[in-house]
Amino acid sequence: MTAYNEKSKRRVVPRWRSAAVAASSKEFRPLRNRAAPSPARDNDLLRRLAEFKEVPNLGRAAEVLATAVMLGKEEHARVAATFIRQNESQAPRILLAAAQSIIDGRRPPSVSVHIEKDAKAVAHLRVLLKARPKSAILWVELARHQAALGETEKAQKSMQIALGLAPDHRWVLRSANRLLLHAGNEEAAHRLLVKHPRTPHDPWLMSAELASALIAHKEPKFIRQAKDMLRHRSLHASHLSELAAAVATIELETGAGKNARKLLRQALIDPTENALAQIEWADRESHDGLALEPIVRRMPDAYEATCWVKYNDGQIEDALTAAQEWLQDEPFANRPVGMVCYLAAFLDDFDLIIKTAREALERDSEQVLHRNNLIYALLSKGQILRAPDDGELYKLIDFLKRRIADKDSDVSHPLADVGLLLYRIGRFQEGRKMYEISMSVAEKRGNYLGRALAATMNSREAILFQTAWAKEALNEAHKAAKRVVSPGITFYLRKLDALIGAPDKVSKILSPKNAAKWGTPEPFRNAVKDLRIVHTESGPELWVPEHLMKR
Amino acid sequence: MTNNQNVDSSQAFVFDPSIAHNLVGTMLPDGWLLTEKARQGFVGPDETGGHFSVGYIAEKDGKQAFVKVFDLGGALMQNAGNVMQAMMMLGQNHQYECQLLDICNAAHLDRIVQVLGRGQASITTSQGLSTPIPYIIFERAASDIRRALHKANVIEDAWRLTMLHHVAVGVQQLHGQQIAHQDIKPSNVLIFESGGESAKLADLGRASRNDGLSAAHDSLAIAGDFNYAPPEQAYGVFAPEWRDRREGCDLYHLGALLAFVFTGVTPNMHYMNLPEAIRPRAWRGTWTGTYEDVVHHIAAAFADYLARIKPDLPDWAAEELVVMIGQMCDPDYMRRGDPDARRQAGAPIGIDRFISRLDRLAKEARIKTKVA
Repeated sequence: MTAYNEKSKRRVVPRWRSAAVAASSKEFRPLRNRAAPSPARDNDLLRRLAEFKEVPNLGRAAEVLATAVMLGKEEHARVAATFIRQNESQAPRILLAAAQSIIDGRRPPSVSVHIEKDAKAVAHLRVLLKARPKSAILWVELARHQAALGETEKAQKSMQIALGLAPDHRWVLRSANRLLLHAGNEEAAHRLLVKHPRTPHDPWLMSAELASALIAHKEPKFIRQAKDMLRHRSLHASHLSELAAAVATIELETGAGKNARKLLRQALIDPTENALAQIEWADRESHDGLALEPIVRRMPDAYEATCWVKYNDGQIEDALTAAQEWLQDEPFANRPVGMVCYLAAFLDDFDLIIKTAREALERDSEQVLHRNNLIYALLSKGQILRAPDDGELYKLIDFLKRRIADKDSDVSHPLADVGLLLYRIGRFQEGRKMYEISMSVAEKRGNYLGRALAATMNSREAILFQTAWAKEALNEAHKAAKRVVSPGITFYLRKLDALIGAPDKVSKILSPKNAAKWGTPEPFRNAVKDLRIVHTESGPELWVPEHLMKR
Repeated sequence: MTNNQNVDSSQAFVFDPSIAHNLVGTMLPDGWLLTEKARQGFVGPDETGGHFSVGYIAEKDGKQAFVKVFDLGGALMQNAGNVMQAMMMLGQNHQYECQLLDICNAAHLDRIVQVLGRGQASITTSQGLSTPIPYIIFERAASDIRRALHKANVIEDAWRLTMLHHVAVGVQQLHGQQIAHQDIKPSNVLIFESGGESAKLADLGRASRNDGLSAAHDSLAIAGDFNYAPPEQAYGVFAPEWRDRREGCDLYHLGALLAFVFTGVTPNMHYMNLPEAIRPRAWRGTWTGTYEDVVHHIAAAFADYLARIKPDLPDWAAEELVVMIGQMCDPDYMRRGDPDARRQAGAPIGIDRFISRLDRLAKEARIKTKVA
């Protein structure tokens, strides 16, 4: 199975989305409101329309268009737009395009920044920067695309320029913090915010400081101010959402669960999608039953939280869709890559894993997680074994050898991959043995999820090759799965249960196209969704609603 | 209703709110006969208040002129029916504009539309009602610069650049008299044909003075036309320095005009594609924070705008025109202007340098015309 620890810790590090998306987010909203002029009145448009009708020419038509767009009354500019269209041989191209948009009744896309992906975007941004070299937003965008291409050093230089141009800008500061964390420079990421004069007054910077401190293993500097700010609630709830989630995370880790739960509920009043993902993570740990699904449904950009909510619900295909959107949203980040591969593995969608892992390795060839995922998918697909002369197989084996020799890391995963390789080259007994070693190593490290994953994969291989121990291996996998809560494993074991009964239908049962059949059945999902853990004075209690008691 | 009315300046004032719109056939005290309304259709008050006027064509001794009649009815609508307040406001506006025009006339500003007369008439209607009508008579133009917008050859490029050069000179002439126009837009750039074509700036109704005298509109964030307002004004910024607040606004308008005559699209129209969350209310957005927090976004959108208009600029001058528009319309009002000039003592916007650059480009275009 692909390597991904669904139980790993999560921090409220700032999201680093494209400038256009960030501009519409809660993160970009001002803490306090200022007065500004009211919109123009319709008379402007009436006057310009009258002028255009009196002497129709392109200039007057262009003014009608501009005024209608400014007023949001594009439909009134159709006559002028049509005139421009009729005189297209004389009309400038940009005006013609604007007229065509009005005739077609469509709005042009947001122009805040260019959102195309990667190399093309970098080239385009460089053109824009040539014209406006002092635009901090363009430098941040350039850094983001460079990071997505794996050009982390270049990205850091671009970000440095952005910081020089907009040293007090919240979004620039948070983006810089996130880039430093991405680059593994945790101390610098923390230092940036600790030293900044805006941090103690801005909950968004404060929450990033707290998260960075945890990652850098430093003492959070503004924890007291953060708690005061949350207690006084003088700012709108949306501004406090991530801060509340960040403080709750610290409280959870220091054993102050009661406070943490209170803060998580505060974070839920008007959450950002990042806070929601954090609350989901905390809820996954504590099983508080915060009923996140309706909130997630209302937030179309809550990709990470949606992914986890769907996953926990056993809807692996939907979770994968959300994970892919999450990856698109943060194309430089490793966590969504891992999640896409992890979920695709439950669907046996090896092509998707190979594509995703290869793209991620282009960015960061040293990333063990992506390499592990690639090896798993290549071996599972089997193609690599049919063409061993291309050298890639030997490189993969060499990688596994080095990983197993590394005594400091968790070797259960490379051992399992070796087990898979042995099965696939017909050395079934040795493959089984290697999986058992992998399980044992994982068990010793307390990695019960890793153990269950290895057992599940051993079971799949045993069934696929119709070994004598196939049934025994499947039982072992079920047993291991009971020790962990993993909707993915539960899902996959359903497939294996079907497969052992009908080994001739392997291509059908393991096909990604048929995955929906193995998801958590709807009636079951509905029946158990009301189960809650209630935290009482005497400790947590399972609360079962009346309608379930009657069953 | 008011055709062939008699003018009697001695009658007592009785208000008729629609009178300014019904003056065709009226003879003004100076002997000018109002022959037709300058614009067809309903012309209502401007959005910014206080900008209430109706245009007429007038004739005298075989010559034509443009008459700006101040509209008391419009002012009354703005002042919630308070006649005295409306009268006071209109009188102040008329007086203010006349003072500005006096300064222009005294200084012989040849790139500002010339005043031929002014005054106040009391119009008696057929019902015997009497209404005071302040007016100003201007030389009449053949057209305005909006006619210049179409794909052009180098001959028309030369013409356009020459007209823009004239406008820039007009701006410099005003700034030299401590006046900022505040409402430079295509309809206020008039083209005259006598003695070769030339452009002049019209309508000082929204202008500001830097000599201590102020007008009612000086307190508004946007004094001129909303559609052409520089972004900082749309976001409610009141720049502390006159240079940035007023001269910078004129320069922004000049840059937008330069873009308009070649492309038909101004930066403001492009800014309407910014996300609603960071657009100000004046642009139908919801942003209520500081300009400093969004100016970087506007700068990014402006860069995108410059890249998009470049193909519509004349090939031979596109690079330089993009640089000029970029400097004239810089969303950062403290940097707007010629960068070398901005580095000098007092950080002037450098209108003289833009004049030289436009003059050079116009000459270059004329040379290309001859070669062609």
